[in-house]
Amino acid sequence: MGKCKQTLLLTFMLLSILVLLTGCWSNKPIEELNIIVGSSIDKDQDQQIKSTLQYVVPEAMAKKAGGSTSQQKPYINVSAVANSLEPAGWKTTLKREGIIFGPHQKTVIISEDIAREIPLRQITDLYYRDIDIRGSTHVFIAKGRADQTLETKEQNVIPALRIAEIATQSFTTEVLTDTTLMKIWGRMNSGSSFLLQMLDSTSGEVSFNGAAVIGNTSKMIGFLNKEEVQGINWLNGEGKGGYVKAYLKDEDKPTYYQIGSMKSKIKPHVNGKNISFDVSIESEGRIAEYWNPHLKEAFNNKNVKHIEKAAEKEVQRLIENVMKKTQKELKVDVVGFGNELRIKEPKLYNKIKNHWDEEFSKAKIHYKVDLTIKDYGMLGSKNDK
Amino acid sequence: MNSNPVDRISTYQVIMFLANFILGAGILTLPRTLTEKVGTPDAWIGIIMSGLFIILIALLIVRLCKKFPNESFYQFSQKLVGKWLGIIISMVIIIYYICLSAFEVRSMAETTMLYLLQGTPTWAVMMPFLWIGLYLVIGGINSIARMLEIIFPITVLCFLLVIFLGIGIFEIDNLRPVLGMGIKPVIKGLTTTSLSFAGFEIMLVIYMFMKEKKNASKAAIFGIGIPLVFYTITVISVVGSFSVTGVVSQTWPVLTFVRSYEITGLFFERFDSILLVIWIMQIFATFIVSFFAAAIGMAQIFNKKSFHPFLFAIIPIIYLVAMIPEDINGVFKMGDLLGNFSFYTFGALTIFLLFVSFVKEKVNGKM
Repeated sequence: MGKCKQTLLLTFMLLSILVLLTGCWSNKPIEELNIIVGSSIDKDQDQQIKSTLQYVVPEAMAKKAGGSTSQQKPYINVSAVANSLEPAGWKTTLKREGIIFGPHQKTVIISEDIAREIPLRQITDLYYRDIDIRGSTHVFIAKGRADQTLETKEQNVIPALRIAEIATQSFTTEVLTDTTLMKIWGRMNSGSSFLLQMLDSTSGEVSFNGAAVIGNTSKMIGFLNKEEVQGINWLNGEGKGGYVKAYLKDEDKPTYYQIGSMKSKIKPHVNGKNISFDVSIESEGRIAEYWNPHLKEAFNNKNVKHIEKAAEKEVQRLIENVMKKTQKELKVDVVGFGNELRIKEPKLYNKIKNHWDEEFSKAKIHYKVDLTIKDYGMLGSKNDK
Repeated sequence: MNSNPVDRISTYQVIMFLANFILGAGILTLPRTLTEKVGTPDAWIGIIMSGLFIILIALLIVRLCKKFPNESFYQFSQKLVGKWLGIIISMVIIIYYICLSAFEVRSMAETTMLYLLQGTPTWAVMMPFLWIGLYLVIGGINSIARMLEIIFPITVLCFLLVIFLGIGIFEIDNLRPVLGMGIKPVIKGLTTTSLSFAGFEIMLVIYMFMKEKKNASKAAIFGIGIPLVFYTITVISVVGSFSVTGVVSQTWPVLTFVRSYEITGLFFERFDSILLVIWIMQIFATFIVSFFAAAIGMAQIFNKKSFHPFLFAIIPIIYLVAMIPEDINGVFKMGDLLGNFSFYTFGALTIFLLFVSFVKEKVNGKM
């Protein structure tokens, strides 16, 4: 009797396993997925939002690996027009089969028109809310049309991925340290101003060019060129490399300082109602290029110091240049002086944080730049004769 | 009853019981719930303070249990406050445990459907979870203890790995200034921080199973200390990465955190699904312990030898309770309610019962 019962039970269990183990309940076959790698947001002629999604075409990639040259591009751009991103996304499914699959999205490019008109917090809401899209996605502002940055004439290049690669790998101080969705989230919500990298596709080729200033209303309010971006990177000490002009007079001929490392420290001082900041910047590097016609040998430390001084002056100029623009013209704090004040004087900052940008424009800032040339490469002197 | 020599667990297993029971679904939302209340980056200080406070309460519980070494809370409460009041208190606590296990099952289903099984219906996610839990609990306290021993190192290692890999997006400035607005906001958030330690009271139930009862205090300290360290690490790294304003708007801050970085060069670039798969085990642990606590409570109240029939009776109730919250806000609300209940009830109850036992001893001693 017992045995019979056991067999019955076993049979039942095995049968239920048959039912339970067969299914991949919510499976999505990979060849039916439209894998998004990048997307762009533009303004349409009739003031609507044009959303462009860049899908990868795995077949084209596979052929490339096989060795045969194919004419098919490895990506496809699909766009639709609506009043926001969600309906636009659905509209693309009317034109192209497959499920939109977001987790591999690397770049979001927003056109300048949109960024100046619609708060960034609203236009990017979907990216933060959607469970598929990751916080490590890079955000850019495009000069001109955003969808053009997702095009390329080169074969076997996926523009969205190329842009993301440049953003993460670039060393120069002319490019902002990469701004991902997650990095700007806190600043966007606390109403502070910040910068976003700008892309320029007006010449037909995409290049990194300057930065967009996003004000405390979360709209774009200004633009910094490459030189000004250099100043910003010096101020927050986030550059990992790059060059500095290290000659004062034109007849000295090009001499360039190559940045090895940089550090910056911002110290707030509060004296009654006056807020001031001390910025001290330190950097170590080497001489990268030295065209001096008079050929003062670098073995002599006096000449090295001379170049150092020139580079320091240049850095000072870069910083003052960008501060003049952001502090006096645009009246926004994009470097994070406010953050330093918050850390040092949290109670005071709490009182003034709602009109911080205004307070900031009145603050006095002192700079101290200290560069050290560690070495001068493989050349110390040159035989002149 | 279940007090034959086989049903004995070691000190280490008691620590596992406490740590696994406290660590549950709550940690996934912890950085948000704390920062909301505290409002400054100092939530982690609150965690440490309330952790130490909870250890104190747990030591009181141990003190109370020591007076009745071979009985669980359900039995000795009847002796202390009279049969009927004791039964009523026990029933309330059993209901609490049923709700708690239902809450854990539901949060597991919610997070799973979010990331892992997007198209699968809730019931299909919950059923296997419930059944496997039932199967485990039938094995009694020893099987549960051994299971917890296996789960714990795996989950802890994976969780810490995933958290520490996010070091790249961590910015110390987000955590500064320390105590910039004074200690007041931290004190204000202290009740909320204490809620995250709900589960410390399981000592009331499992003390009778302990092999070396003299180590109970040590077990309580370690059992709560482990989640304490865990919580502190989590809150520091998540708030440090998102800043205070960034973290309060995130529904599942820990999940968003692991989705915000990519590691190139390692075998995986993304760790979010790993975290979730691993963390389901931890939720499972909380579920089975509270399931066990409810069932054994029933058995002891009704003075039955075996608690198996009660297990089968409770399972459908858990399912039904788990389906009560209509949406995600309902789930969060349920979690808050349970946390509040546990903190206040068990805090007050312990002190009250301890007091009663002291008075009784005094009276009996005089007579």
